Amino acid sequence: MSLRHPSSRRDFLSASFGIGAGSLGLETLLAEQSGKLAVGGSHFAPTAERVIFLFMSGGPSQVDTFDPKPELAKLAGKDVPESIAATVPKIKRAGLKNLMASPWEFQQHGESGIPVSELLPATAKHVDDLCVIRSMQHRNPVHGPGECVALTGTGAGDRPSIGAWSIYGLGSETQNLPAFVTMNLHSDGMQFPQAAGWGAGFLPPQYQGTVVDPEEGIRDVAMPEGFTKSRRRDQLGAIDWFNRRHLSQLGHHPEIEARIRSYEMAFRLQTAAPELFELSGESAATRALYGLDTSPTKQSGRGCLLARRMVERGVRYVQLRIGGWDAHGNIKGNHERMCGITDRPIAALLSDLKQRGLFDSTLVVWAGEFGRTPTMEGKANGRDHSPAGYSVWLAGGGVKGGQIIGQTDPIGYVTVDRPVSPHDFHATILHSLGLRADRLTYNHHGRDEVPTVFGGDAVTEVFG
Amino acid sequence: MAFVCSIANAEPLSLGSPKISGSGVTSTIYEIRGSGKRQNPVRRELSEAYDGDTLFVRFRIEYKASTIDTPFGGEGEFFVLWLDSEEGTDGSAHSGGIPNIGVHVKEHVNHFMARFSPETEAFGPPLVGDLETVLVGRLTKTKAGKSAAFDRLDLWVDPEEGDLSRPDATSTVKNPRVREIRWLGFSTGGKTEPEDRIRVRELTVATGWREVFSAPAEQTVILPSVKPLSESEIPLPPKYVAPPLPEIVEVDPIPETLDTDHWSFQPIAQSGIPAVDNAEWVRSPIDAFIAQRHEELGVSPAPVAESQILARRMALVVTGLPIIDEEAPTNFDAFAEDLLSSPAFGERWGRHWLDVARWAESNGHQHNRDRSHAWRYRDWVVDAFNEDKPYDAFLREQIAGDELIPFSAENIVATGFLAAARYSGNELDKNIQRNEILVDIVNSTSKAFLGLTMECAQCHDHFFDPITQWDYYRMQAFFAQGQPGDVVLDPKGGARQLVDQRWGIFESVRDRMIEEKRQQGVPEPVLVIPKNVPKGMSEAEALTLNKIEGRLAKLPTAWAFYSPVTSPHDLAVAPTAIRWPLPFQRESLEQARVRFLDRGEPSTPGPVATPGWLQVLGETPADLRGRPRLAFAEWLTDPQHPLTARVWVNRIWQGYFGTGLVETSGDFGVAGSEPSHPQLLDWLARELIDSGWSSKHVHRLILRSNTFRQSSLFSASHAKRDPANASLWRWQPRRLEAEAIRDSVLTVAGVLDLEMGGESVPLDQAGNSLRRSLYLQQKRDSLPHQQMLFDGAGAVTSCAKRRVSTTGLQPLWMLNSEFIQTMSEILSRRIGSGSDSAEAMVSRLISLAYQRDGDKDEIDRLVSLMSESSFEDAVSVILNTNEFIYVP
Repeated sequence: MSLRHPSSRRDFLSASFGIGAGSLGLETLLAEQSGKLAVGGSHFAPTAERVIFLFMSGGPSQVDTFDPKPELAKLAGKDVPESIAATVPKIKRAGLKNLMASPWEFQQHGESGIPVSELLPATAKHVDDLCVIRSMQHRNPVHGPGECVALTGTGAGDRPSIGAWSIYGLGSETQNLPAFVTMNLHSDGMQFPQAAGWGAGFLPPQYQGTVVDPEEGIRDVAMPEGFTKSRRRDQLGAIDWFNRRHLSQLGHHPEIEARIRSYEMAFRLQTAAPELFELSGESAATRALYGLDTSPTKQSGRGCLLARRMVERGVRYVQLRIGGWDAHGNIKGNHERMCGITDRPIAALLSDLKQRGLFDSTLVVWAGEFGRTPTMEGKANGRDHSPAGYSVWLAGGGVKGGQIIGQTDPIGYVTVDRPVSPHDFHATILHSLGLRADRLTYNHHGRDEVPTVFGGDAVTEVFG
Repeated sequence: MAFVCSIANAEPLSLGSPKISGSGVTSTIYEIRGSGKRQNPVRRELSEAYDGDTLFVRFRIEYKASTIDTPFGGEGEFFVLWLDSEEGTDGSAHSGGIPNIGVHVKEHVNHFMARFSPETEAFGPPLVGDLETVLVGRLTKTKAGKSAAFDRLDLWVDPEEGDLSRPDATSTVKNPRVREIRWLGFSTGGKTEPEDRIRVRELTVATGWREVFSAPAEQTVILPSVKPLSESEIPLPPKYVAPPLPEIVEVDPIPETLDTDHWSFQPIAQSGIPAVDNAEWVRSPIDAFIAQRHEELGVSPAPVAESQILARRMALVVTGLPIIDEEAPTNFDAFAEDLLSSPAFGERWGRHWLDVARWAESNGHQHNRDRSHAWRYRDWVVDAFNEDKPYDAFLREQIAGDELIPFSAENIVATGFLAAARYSGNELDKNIQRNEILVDIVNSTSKAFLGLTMECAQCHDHFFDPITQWDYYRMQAFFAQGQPGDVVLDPKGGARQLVDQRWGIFESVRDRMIEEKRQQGVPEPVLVIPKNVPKGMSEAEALTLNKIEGRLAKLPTAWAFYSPVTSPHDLAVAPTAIRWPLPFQRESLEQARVRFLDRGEPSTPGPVATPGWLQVLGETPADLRGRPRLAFAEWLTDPQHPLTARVWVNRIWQGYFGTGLVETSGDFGVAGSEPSHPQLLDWLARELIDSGWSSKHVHRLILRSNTFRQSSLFSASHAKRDPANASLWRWQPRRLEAEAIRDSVLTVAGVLDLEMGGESVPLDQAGNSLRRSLYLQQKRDSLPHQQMLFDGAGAVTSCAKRRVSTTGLQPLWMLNSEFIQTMSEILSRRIGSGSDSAEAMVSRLISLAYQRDGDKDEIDRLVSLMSESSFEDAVSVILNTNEFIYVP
């Protein structure tokens, strides 16, 4: 007989049988026991306990950031050589004329000597901690569907986000804050943030990311004016009294029991959330590190610092979406602006995590939904979308830094070695959390669904 | 209202009215573009020359951000207002001692700037795109007198009134040239490209700082004298050219036979009403089926619920609104009838259907453009439920409304079901975009009406169900000749001609722009995106286009699905400015074919698929009489169809009991659940068909039943036998949906606005709206906050059943949100003004909120809370209790 209440406890456990009931799939927002993930719940020893996903929406250009192509300078103004053109997927926007050199110099950094564009001087100081994948690849050259591919695995965005899967597998660490938080910065303009990117898909809704505005914090967390904690406690006491009386007339009702507990969670949130967003306790050095008081780093500095504060306080998965990388008209202006906004704060986040001993247990990833063409788009000095070969990086959380994985062709257009699909990338994130993408299952419509439905193997070299 | 005019090479018009003694303003908004060379598109003469010592000038400027170049190696922007004694010509430089205020590059950043010459540039703050900025300049003679020249220029950027002593930049010149100001003009330079868009307005001159601020905002309107194009000058839209198809791949042929013994594909049985021991409990035949299962399991039904509870339950389930301030009814059959005939019934059950129809008012994906006419479908659905439109007609009109004869605007609106497909307007590849729409339509149609999950057959034969990949593309083919769009609901009225004219102008300008770019050496493929086309229009073209669009906007329009090929009606599709319009001409849709796609990939098409329904359910005739969707709808509504009626009565059942007789109401396939009461399901399906597909007939059967009227009394022994209550031995309380929670609060507070239908309340006004939640704008990825919190339907795919999440964020909204605060305040005032004692107030509160009498303990508990804090706190407590948001 099938179960009739999708949110009932039993359904839950049966839903996550793929991994052994006791440890996974607790109602994360309402976890009754605090404490960390029992290792027994994972498929193998995790190298990371939490994830910070720095999602660069719009599509950063690989040949101007992490994948230097001196050949481009020689071929500038020419067409894509035929041998390479033949390998460019037949998708729209894949322009084959007028190659454009990167306007920036690349220099080798650190002991590993990984070359990084002069656009990212602060990130470059961390190269020995970064694992750069230069061979990301998929087929969707449009922002919305591309973002859905990058974060959920399908262009339609009808499946759970990688964040939701992670939390489904991991459980939550804190009772005071949501397990999965997402922040959308610079989302004005053309690229509407895709809710699927933090959605739960067919997983139960508690796995979805909570959208938080870095300036305003969690909505409605502040008590109305004139309220005191004790007055609120009186109210909650009365609510609880009514709810328990109501429950006693109904017999067993897990959903109603969960709702009763949700008021306790709300009360804790009310204390924890403002504290999280109250940055006055941060030292002047930290403020300076993240560039909190200077434009243009102000906003993303705040986002990065909040990400650190969140993981410190037990948030398991933080997604920071920074929009604006869509450099059609002018690669120079756009990327200079975007790197100006992001480089220092992201480097600050890496340093700060280290300084606080969180780096080794936190997986930090940096990725857009695709890269950009090595050719010029029209006559505008910009580059068009290109998912045929692009770069991302991972750091912390067991990642073996100072290495480069994969390769694109001599002009940085198409992946030629060690192609990595978004599904592989998702499997890699799960791998760091001790989860196997083909074993983490949720039964939906009679089918044991896994995070990487179109195949997807963890890139284990990432972890050395 | 200010008037916007786009100036490319405007003739100089003299500015008559402003007098230097007072102040003068022009309120025309000038939209100025560059030409890559020095140009003075706007030049204005003062009514008398000014030769005093101090002159202020002010204007507002907005530079379109996407057109701003970040300067490198001398690129960047140049744009100024000059003040001179002479007009000069279109190409004059007005430099070298002539005061200029505007924008120029400093150290690789565009800044606001004041200067007399390139050597005397003084910079203010950087230019910010898409932000209207006020620039104020002060021109002074440091040596006073008529014969002296202006040699100092101060610039303020967005000044406050008190900023006179703090200019943002000051430029001085040693050899000034201008002794009197007679002419003002805007000048573009070599760095100002044709793509640039600079808007300036409220050009004001005055002799004092205060006058600059107090100048009336709008005074003079100057209209350019442009004539629209004559009819014969309007070009025709270009001929459609089909996009090239990739190479056709070979695929497996259509399988010859398919067979299944799965229950839902078998004919609907003629179930007799079972005889049961507990015969006196049977009020409606439904009860007999339920009692039979009870007796098999050894459980007995819970007693009938108390009348106050039952009244609340009926009202909430049937209308989504509590009925307050009324005695509980004595005749519940009559009460049910009242509820079913209340307009709120259609609003509630219409919303259930909108979930299934994945209906929303925006395209989705990154541009997420609003579909501002989509509300008509919402109203059509509400009306259909209220008038009990027979389900076969309800289905037929949604799938084939545009193919039905005679024409009716309502039938066109009904196809909003198909048009609700989500797709990316930014997709350049038309094959991908069309496939995206057809995939959405097939997935949603099969789930909604057949209760089948077709989506996996997009890439391979279904793993569980007898559905092949060929079935998938054959079903797509029913829809191949139509597309979603803003369909004008008036077959006469000349809309068609207007639309043709509109596209004619638009496309010819686009072609011209592409040709211009090509001439400039832009490499192939040369693209001009639609939003840039207006920039390339002559004034006459722009004016004509505005007129045409203005006339079109007045015609009634719906976001609907229309095929100029298979519809017998000649309708116009309004030129909704999506970024990459779908093919809109008849010839494009005539040529449209569906192909079998290997692995679901548009880049690997196989043979053409002709329309056909699921092979396992019988053969599709070769001749569909030119109206394929109508044939499909008739097949679906054939009384012999095994799925349609079952799926629909099951949805109604779910609407009452929270769970269907088939728990997976969107999946009647092998992977879905078996029906808990198969005979009852078939009996209800037959009742539906035999009643002439009357949905309200099924509602009545359920509302009459004792099954529905049971109390929620718990029994440990029954729970042991049937823990999930699948046999319905009691009523299972469940949480209200997001909409019903908010609507309940509004009702209890006494402020619900019952106005029905019409355009949705825009998102930014949703917070202050008192209308039912159904009418708040449903933008994909951006539902109203409260709907997001309480599991509203996101309209990404068909939603067969809302989920119920419980999070710590929900109580925050219920406790702290402005909405709940305001409603608590209103409700406490409402009660407080009519009652005297604390007990009376609290009793009234409970009876309003729960529609039942409070008991002594409850009253005491709230009175004690009140004595510690306030009555408003007690109100907020009750709104936060589970009982308030649960169907009892």
